[in-house]
Amino acid sequence: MAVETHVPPPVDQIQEEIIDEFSYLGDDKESTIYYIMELGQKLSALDETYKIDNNIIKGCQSKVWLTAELHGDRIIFNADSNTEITKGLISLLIRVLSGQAIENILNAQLYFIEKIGMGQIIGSQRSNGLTAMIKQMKLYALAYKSKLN
Amino acid sequence: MSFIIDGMHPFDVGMLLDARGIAVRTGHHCTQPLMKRFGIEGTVRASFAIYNTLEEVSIFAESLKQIVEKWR
Repeated sequence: MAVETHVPPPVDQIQEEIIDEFSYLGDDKESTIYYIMELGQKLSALDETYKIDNNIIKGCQSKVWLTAELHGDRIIFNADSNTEITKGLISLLIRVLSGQAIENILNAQLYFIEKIGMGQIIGSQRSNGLTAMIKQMKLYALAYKSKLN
Repeated sequence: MSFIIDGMHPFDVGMLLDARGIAVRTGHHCTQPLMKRFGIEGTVRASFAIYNTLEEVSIFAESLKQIVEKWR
């Protein structure tokens, strides 16, 4: 698995970048969905050995596998899904949270989701799935935090 | 009418049709053994009823064509 070693910009800076990118799509729902699918295609595929039931996020209608590795006090997330839209959604979360320090992951307020109007784009069922993804990422952060302390 | 598109997941096709105001169902439609038999995760299903017009059928067919072409 590819391991990012660089330190990402602060969480809120990345969120602002995403809000800015999505603002160019305006209210065009279809273009936004294609854009999310394209983001999903750019997400490097997770090795098949990680696509196990233990890594599946519960609460998602599609299959989403998530792994979290500790590097110092930072967590590297990797993920994959069987649908392009879900891959795109998790790729956004990875962009914001992967490589961040544990505390920053735990304290992150992911306001970009509401700002870009994701709820209207993906509907309530997928929004629940997105919430489940965030919850799982924060749970990993909490688990690593207690392990380190 | 139940179908799949090569290289596209039924959920993604359903979302793209939805963005155009076309309502279809996606998933296994409670027929998991059949999906397993075909080795697929689900299908897209368009159901035509007494209130649907021929124009709506054409819009659906044309939209589906465009959606697939746009993605490829």
